Amino acid sequence: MKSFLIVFCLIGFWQTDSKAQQVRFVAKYGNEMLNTFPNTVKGKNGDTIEFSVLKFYISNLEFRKNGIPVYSPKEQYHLVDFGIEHSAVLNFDARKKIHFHEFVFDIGIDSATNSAGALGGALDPTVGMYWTWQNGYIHFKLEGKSSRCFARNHQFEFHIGGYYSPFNTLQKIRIPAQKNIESTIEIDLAILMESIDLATVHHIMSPCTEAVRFSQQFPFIFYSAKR
Amino acid sequence: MKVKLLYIFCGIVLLVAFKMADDIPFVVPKYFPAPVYDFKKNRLSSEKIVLGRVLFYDNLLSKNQTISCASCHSNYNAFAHTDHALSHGIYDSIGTRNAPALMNLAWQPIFMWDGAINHLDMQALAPIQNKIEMGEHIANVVSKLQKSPIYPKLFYKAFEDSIISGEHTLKALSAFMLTLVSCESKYDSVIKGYLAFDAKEKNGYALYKNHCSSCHTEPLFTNYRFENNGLALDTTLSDYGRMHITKQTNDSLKFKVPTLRNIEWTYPYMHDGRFKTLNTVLNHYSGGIIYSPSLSEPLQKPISLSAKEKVDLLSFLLTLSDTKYIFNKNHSFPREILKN
Ligand code: HEC
Ligand code: HEC
Repeated sequence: MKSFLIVFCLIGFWQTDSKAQQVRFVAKYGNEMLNTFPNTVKGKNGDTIEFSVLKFYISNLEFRKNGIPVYSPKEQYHLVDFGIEHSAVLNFDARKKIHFHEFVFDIGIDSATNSAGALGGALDPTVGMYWTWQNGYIHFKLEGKSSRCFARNHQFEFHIGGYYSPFNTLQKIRIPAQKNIESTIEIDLAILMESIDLATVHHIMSPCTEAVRFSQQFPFIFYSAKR
Repeated sequence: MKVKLLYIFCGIVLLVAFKMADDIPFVVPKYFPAPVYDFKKNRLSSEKIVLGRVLFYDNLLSKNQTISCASCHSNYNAFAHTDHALSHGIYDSIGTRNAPALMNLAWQPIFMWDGAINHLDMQALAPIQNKIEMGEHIANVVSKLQKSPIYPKLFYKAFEDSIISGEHTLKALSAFMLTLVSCESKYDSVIKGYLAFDAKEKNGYALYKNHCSSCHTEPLFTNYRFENNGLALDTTLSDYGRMHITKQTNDSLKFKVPTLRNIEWTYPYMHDGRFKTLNTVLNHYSGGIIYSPSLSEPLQKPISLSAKEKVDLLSFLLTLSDTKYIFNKNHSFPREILKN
């Protein structure tokens, strides 16, 4: 019995000692917050845009100081899904207080993991981020409707994936971090939507040149929230 | 206190020991290369193989419970779809390709006629979610399995977890498919030195080595590469094969080289099932090759086979038939668990 108590005390001690590190993703359209999905906004071109799905993988996250990684969470792959409450908030147990200037992470899943067979957790095929008629994870999914989109029901669907050349769409993101325990990373969908002509490009559903071009916008849409 | 620790320690040792005993070794014939499948990530156990076999034969995997993997991959035809040139799926839909025979999948590095799938584990997702094959969604398959009276128990036995996941469903299917090893044909007995070819087979073997082995390479009878073997494009299907995946024009009309093992039973032949008999296949290679820029090198020079040579080559091809494989009870419908 006594030994149990000691164990409990130890666990308690560890917990208070460890530092919860939180990274929160927030979706925006320009200055407008998109708190819940689906969400309708006035587009910059006078159209209306309804965003229904925003899902992407964050992987190989590193907290860096002067370019050197000071902390990399054990959990390597995270699915951020704005349709599921709390999934846009990642909590890490950093064990000790860390000082960092920069976040470095990938949007998507690296090629080794893409070829590794069936995997579980965030990578389980049931989460709907794996292509089935060919192989590979979908790194980033954005779906919705816009009056500017000439497709059926004005719908657009961007499923961005591809892990082999010349259609590798994995993108590394580096962004300066605010030095605090709770960090917020904003994603500006306006930048993304303005980079494409919805009248002609409304469906990207496989690794292709269009997908590569789309993914090249990722480094410009993620940035640290200024407080 | 010490005693307690000792108990825990013994428990762990026992558990580990049991786990080890559960692993089924994957036997590799001496003259086969090393398998490419990583068994460390999906250890074989009899419980997992049984679960995979039940899944393979269960219609529950399709949207309206009418189609199973075995509907298109029948064990009596070396897991091909005999008599169907193009696969036949849910709601009587006709697919665009011939269902290939399944065997020796542990050695196969890439799947589908065009190499669309890079890992055996992920292969099952393609038919499950194809609207004209099984028309389901893997998340829905998992929830049907979870509600079924038999599966939570089977998953618990296989993975020590009765919460069913997509990962475990796919790994169990792989475990079963990995056991589909065909290596007991007459050819294999000859290689092992137990039997000898007769005169016709011997001549056929020489012809095969001369004309066919660069692509249909021993002992698996395929090099798993993508080649253009000179078939005319079927303009109703417009299937350009590998190019569909790589989008490179030099991959136009290239398809994965299929194995010649059990070829006697896997008719009709080619990715679209265009040839019903082996004789028509031989006529294709001897005089029917269509030239195109991506035609594979070994077929650039015309092959000319006399009528006798065709007979001999055919008799060699028939030595690749493995009746033990076809009638292996461990591969057939799991009557003891599933009702039809
Ligand atoms: C409706 C028919 C149909 C059903 C049902 C079906 N398959 Fe297939 N299978 C095919 C066809 C057709 C191909 C080849 C497709 C292609 O190359 O585009 C194939 C290919 C394969 C391959 C790759 C073989 C190779 O040599 O590349 C494997 C493995 C396989 N199927 C396993 C399965 C499993 C497991 C299931 C059940 C979950 C299943 N199949 C259900 C028709 C079917
Ligand atoms: C250049 C490589 C190459 C050579 C040489 C070659 N083949 Fe093939 N073979 C293929 C390819 C690729 C396919 C599949 C083509 C398709 O379906 O589009 C194939 C398909 C076949 C099939 C049908 C298998 C099935 O399951 O549908 C048979 C039988 C066959 N070849 C026999 C032979 C014989 C016999 C020879 C020698 C006379 C030979 N091949 C030489 C590449 C080759």
